[in-house]
Amino acid sequence: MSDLLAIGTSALLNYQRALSTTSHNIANINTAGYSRQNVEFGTNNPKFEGGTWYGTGAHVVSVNRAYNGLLTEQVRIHTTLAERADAYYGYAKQVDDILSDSKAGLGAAVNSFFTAVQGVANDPSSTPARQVMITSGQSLVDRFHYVDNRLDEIEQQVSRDVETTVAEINELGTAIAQLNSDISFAYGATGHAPNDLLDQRDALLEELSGKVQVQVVVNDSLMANVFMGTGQPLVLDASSGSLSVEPNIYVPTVRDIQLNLAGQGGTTVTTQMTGGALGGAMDFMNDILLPARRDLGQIAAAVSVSFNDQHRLGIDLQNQLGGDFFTEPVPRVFANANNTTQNVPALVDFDVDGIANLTTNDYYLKYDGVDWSLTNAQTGVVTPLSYGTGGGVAPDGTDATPWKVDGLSISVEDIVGTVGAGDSFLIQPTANAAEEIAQRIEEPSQVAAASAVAVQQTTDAQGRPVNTGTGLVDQVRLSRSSGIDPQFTLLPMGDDITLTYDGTNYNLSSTLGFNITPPTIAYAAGTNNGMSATVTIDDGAPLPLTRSVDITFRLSGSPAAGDSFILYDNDNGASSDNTNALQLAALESRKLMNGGTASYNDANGEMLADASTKTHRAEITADAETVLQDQAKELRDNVSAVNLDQEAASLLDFQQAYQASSRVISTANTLFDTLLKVVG
Amino acid sequence: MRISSVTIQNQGINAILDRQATMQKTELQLASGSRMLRASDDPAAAAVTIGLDQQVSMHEQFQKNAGQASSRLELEESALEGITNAMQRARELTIQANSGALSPQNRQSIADEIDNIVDAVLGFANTKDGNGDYLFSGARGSTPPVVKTVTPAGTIAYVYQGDQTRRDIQIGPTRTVADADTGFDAFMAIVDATGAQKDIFSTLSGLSTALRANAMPDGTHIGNIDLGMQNLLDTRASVGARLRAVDEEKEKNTAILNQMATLRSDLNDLDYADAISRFNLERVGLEAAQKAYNKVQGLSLFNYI
Repeated sequence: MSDLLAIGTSALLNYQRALSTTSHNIANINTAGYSRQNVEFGTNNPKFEGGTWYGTGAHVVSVNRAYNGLLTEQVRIHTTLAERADAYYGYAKQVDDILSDSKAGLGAAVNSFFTAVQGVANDPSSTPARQVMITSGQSLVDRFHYVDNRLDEIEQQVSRDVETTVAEINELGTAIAQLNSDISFAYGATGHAPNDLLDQRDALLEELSGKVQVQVVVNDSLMANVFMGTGQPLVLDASSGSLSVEPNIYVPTVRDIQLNLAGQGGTTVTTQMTGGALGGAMDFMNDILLPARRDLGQIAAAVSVSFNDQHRLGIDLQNQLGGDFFTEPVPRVFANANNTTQNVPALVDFDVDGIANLTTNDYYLKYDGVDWSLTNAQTGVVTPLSYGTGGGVAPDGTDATPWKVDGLSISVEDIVGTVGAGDSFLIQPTANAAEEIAQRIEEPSQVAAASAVAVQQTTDAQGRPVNTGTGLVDQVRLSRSSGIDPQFTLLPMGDDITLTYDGTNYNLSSTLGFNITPPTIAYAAGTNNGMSATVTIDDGAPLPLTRSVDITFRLSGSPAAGDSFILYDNDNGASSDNTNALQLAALESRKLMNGGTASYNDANGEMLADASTKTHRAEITADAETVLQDQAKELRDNVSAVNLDQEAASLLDFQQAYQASSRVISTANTLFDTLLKVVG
Repeated sequence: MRISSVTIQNQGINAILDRQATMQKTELQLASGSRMLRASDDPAAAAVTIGLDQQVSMHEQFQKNAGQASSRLELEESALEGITNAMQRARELTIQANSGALSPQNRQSIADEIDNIVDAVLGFANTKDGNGDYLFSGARGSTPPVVKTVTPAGTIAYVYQGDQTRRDIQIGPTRTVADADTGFDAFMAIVDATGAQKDIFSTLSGLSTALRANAMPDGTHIGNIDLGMQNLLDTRASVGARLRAVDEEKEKNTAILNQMATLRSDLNDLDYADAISRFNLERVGLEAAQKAYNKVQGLSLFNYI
């Protein structure tokens, strides 16, 4: 009878536990990472009595969680991939929006600017037309600034997000380490795995896998060791390392990620932090944002350098040579924080003649103690450079003859005395160019619409021709100038150059005795009709600067011997001359970028295509990864998560068993009463 | 197979959210009339559109340039026509004066009319364009091309003050036209068979001087006028040819602009019929997902215990 009572009571308690476990399951229906728990029953040891074995009821063996380690790991893997894709696409979409906004985009501003240049070409003497050109130039500059600012805002946002993510990773690491300690203690003390703590840790690990890629290795004492990215340890047993955000070794405003381990100091791990929101942010920066800013800067640099170059070849309404229309950006140079000194070479600039070869890449300028080299940071291509070997003639890195590589002009003369072996510099030619370009000219009269030089046949006092042949010299323009300082308001030639035909050659002469190369040009009417010629004129005077200009013109017709033409500085009020404005307007469709394959707007199109193709791919990836993540979670949840119907059924089941056990106790009671009555 | 309650819930919700997102995109397309809401919807088309926009902008500018060139050339044509008519009148007067029956007074009054003609020609030569620039000064638009000078001794000379630069205007991607001729070419650069200077002002003022001296004009005077008129005629022919070229280029530009507008529309514009039927289908899908969610959520064993 006492058996009956004991069996009934223990069964009652067993089912109470089962019912409470079911309630626990129902209560945790919405708890992330919760694994439903099962009570496992076992039969009690039988008792030998009267020559046979009697059962003594049941007991609870353990409470298990429905768990499959492989499926949980799959969820982590897909969470890493999905969060990376999601973060990446979220940022990429913003860049795509900025670049594809037809009103705020760059293309429309480039078009309006060149429309305004054409307006000046149509009516060069009109002050309003010139004013419109200056205003449109300012609008173009504003557009560069606007797009670059928007991109910069996104860069700032990504930086803040990275800092937040790093802080979250650190907190997760600490919490996981703490749980490791708790789990290991509980397991060691009882020999039973603490299900709810394991679930909590799995939930934290899943959350962590959304921040950065993780590998989890569980040891014998149930501690989870966590490695990030490409194998950097975050949690080892009960201790956790931490990440921090530190200034980049070259550019202090750029942030690197550093892993700090107790007793081991810090290691830069920026490029190793793959996967998750952190990896997505890093990949976005390197794939889309930084390239887009460099692309934009490349266009700003090309527009300002090539437009200025042409503008300087014209003459303005004040009869002065054209100055810079735009303020040109300057490549940024940073010294490595470990360099011997923090001096940077001062003369790193765009190479006007090679501007078409300007890339969108960054470069490392390195000194090994003997020689220099320039390494493209994106392609890895190395250009060896030698200092001072050219004797000041060939490019040798001196101020006089700087190295010319990829549209850059580099001199290290000013630092060559202080630089140490192993020193290196980061050159960012275009990263900030879109921010730095500015409108320089403010006065409408300063637009150099006219050709700086002009030509005329020799005339008499009344302006009538004196030549007797039909020879013609026209299409004259200044094609190169050096040594002309606009501050000194010098004119390109400073003298009239006379071309006199002697029947075979044009002989060139200068009143002031300037050097003309070549001094004669052979011209035969029949064979050379329409030939183009270029002569170089220098004044031979070293002060203030040795002035040297190239004048290009066209020869045609049949000149008679003795006929002459005069090349002159076009400073006699040629207010209606649009020669240089036409050349400026033509820049719009010239292939002045990417090695002579792309116009400004082609480059803009390439930038947009590049960013939007990557965004498009990111969208597809993000969608696909989300589906895969959902599937992985479903598979896990199908094993681990709570099903209410199932719990309802369990509830009924255990309730009935509980009631039956109660009946066992009441039966025992009835039996006892019956016995008492018999006795009593 | 066992399915967790969370999965059932999530699947139902996700089905609704997905359909809402799809519908919202179609809705935005319908509202904007554009197939591409952002460049990443069709990166290739977006890049092509940038190129097209530039081409459109350039060709629209060429059309404006062509209009400007036309109006300057038409102005030149009418000025040259005025000068030709004046020269024609001078030629008639010369023939009239070439008669022994005329008195010195008669010649004097013819000379007076010739002087008026010279002034008229000078006026035409100093025509300004719509922007206030002298048409025949070459690049020196603010300088009157021809001025009359009188020396203290009373010698009259007409001096050309412009330069010899003609202004080219871009009217097509590869086409420029000079939008005027210089006075140098139109009036001054005229020589007779002997190489002597026969600019139209010298010819006319020489004629006037001869008549005032009561000299009878001869074949040389007529010949000089004819030389001047021939030069004007050649210049007008060239102006006419340029006007035709401008018109041709305008038509070409219009055709290209139309073509590019079509291409741009094909790339960017929404096919409304397709979008509306898609929208309806998506709406039906969303309603179905919502109903399904509602039904599934109603199913629970707890309702029966």
